[in-house]
Amino acid sequence: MSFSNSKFFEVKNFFVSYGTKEIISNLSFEMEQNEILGILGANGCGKTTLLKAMCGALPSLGSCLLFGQNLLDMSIQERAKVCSYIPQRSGISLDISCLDVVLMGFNPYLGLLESPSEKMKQAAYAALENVGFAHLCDANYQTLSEGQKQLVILARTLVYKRNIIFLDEPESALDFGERYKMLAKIRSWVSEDRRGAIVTLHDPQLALNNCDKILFTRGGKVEAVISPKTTPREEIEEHLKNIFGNLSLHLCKNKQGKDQFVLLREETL
Amino acid sequence: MKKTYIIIIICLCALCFGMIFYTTLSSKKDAVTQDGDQKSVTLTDQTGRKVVIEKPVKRIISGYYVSTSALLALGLQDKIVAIETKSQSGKRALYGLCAKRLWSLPVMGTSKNFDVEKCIALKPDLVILPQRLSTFVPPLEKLGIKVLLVRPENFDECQEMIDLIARATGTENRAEKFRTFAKKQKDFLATLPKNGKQVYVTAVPSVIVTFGRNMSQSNMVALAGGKNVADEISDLLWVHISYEQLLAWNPEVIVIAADARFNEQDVLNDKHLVNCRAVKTGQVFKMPNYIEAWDTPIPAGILGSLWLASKLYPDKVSSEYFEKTVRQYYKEFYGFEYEK
Amino acid sequence: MKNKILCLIFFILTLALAILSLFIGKYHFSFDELANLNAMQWQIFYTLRIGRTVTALAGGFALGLCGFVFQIVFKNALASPSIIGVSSGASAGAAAGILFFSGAFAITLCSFVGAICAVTLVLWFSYFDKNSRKSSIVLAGIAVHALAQTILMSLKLLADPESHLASIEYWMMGSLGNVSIDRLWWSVAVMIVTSAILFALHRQLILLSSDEDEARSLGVSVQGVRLVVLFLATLCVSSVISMTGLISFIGLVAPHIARRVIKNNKLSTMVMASVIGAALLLGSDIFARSLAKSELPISIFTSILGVPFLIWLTLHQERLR
Repeated sequence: MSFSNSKFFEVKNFFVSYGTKEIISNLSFEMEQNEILGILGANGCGKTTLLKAMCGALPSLGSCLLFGQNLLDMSIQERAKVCSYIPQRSGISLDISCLDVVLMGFNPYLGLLESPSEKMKQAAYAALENVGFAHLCDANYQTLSEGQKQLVILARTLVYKRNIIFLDEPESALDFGERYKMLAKIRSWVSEDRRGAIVTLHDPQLALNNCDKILFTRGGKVEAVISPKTTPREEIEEHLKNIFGNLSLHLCKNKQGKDQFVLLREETL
Repeated sequence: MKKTYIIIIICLCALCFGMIFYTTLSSKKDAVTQDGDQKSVTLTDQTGRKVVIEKPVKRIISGYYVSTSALLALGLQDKIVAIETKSQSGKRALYGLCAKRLWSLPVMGTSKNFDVEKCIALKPDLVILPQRLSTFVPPLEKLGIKVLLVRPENFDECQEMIDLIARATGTENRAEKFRTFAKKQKDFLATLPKNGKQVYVTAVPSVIVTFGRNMSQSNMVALAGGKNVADEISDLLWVHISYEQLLAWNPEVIVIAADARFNEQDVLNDKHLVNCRAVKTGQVFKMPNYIEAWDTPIPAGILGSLWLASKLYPDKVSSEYFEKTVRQYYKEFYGFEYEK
Repeated sequence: MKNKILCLIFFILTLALAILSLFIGKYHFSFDELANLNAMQWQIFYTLRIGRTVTALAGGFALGLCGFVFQIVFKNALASPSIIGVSSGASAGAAAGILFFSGAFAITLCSFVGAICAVTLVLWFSYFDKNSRKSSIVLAGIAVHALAQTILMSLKLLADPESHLASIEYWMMGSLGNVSIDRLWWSVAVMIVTSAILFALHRQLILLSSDEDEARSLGVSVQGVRLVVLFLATLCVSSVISMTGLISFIGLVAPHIARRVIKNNKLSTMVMASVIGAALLLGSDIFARSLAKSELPISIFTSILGVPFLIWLTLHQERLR
């Protein structure tokens, strides 16, 4: 990976269509390393489409540059080494042990006929331990709850060095505690090395409290890019209102004295 | 909306019941005419059906190569208006030798199928079908067409079939001549040792398909003074066995079906049969098929036994005698002189 | 622990059946003879008894393995080698061989070619789907199956009902009685090579079973790997059924039994599926050649084994995988 002066991640003039219907239209944004970028938007505005297209799963026009190199020009193997896509629901329908699921994450680094090494197996076990599921390493993945499955998939994603991860509404299957746990794991992961994460979320409160930057999308375009820490609260509130309807944004302190955003529903007048 | 559906369903049901009702009613009409007429004869065919045939029979359709051969043997060539099928020259080399006219006749189908409409259009007085085409009988009978079902699975049944056709067509004299001829050959063959040689007969598909004791081929072997090694099997039709079984039986002679695609060389060169007695001594023979396939239950089936006897006991039955008998048979019953 | 014992039992069972198969047959070898076979007897024993046992072992192994592969690749618990046209292609090929050529070798070759052509067509049709969805392969499989059936029907119509037709029907019921020892070694070689590669590709197989997008994001060239896996499995299975005719149910049933013994679709599950397939075919063949005086078609016995199992599976549907 060339560590030039280029930005960590840049999307330029991005178009994605399903047949003749344009979903994403001339979308551009950029991102620094060690950041979590959240994407917020109403349901059906194409967040998942955008995410899938950025990591090459859907055809698109435009470029997605990671350290100046276009992800979309890379081979599948090369791309898998630097970026990872975590879907909303895992598509694994086989009976398979959790450890084997996590070991899947090493695939880009293994030859077709190679098997994971002992070191890899230990790393996989450690990753499971990291999400608190070491005791489930031999359990059948299918017997887990959706939330637990998501966390195992997260372990798979974080098990080997990658530069950028794309997560599609990871909180949808998780309970309250698990959501924050997951975002905390992602946070600790992106803070090391040259990494970043792009997460689509449907809970704006979660986004505001965990992301470094938030992209508001509407109609396949970027409506605004805000930073929870620097952008004025009123501006953020405006953007949120445009997408989610009448609400108010407040900053509260928790028991440890840390600032957290809280969203309150307002009646429509 | 719901009402419309209900009405439609009721109409459809009424239509269905109406059709069932109509067809059941109409099938009750019987096509059997009164008995006792001097110009007709009541026969019981080989499946037990009683059929009344109006005489004289001028137009005959034969849906089976065996009955066609029988018709030729009874001198009824000119009365045949349609035959079963023209292909398989091996079986039907006979037509080329004495009944070329048959090749220009309409074809009724195969032994799994029969063209009912074509048959009716030809207005036959008599239709002869093999038992496996019995499903075609009802539509033909309904239109007043007389059908005789035949089932010649062995020599006796073949003789029965010939007698049946003879009675239907008034050619009993010819049939009697035929019986005399067959008997003469049988008596001659009876002088051979019984169960003398162990013989294995192959069927058409491959060397490991054979015939059990209830098939005509077994009968043929017995008449020729041999013993069918597969006669412990009572299955009808073809029997599939394994090479091991064949080796366990270890026949002295192997007879290859007349219409088989493989020949003596193939059997002699077969790696799996290297240790078989018949192969070691070169006693592998293919039934000739230059006129008819004599290993099938046709009228000339007795010639098959004679041929086999000439191979099993060449000192008792010479090949000259055999060829002479063949010539004589076909001259008398089919009207041609066969020169090899 | 219980599972390990079960595995051992299955291995021993297969071995026992193989040995039993060596001793059962229409040609009687007494025990004394077996100790000292003379040249002629050895020839028989080698060509026929050993040949047949090896066919059952290798054939069952291939069928069990490929059933496992197809069930995973298509994420369908009821998948078997016929899902992508292997069976119908082989049948159509065999029918052509029976009709237009003579000799067992021609039939074997034609049915092998038929199977490969059918699968090639399926993979080629599915290639037209740019998204390379799994459903495309299934649809293409249905289309090719219909095509092969049409060809088969036409050939049956052409066939002489007094000889060929019955041969075609018999071929389709499967039999190990007509296996030639020379061709057997070619089949076994193909089977060994393809199985070895398939076992080595176990990891890729598991990856293939997830969504296309997910697999791709994990660096799997889905279309390519799927093509390779399916083609190898087809070669493996075709090398067997081109000789024996169609053998039903083993590819369907063996993987399920294996999954009950070793869970979670590991490599060992794959091996177990193959071993159980071998045991099933050996058992069926022993019955097929000894129950009656003639050779009974083997699919009768594989069905007798398979149908109750399917019913049991339906009743115990905790997880249909």
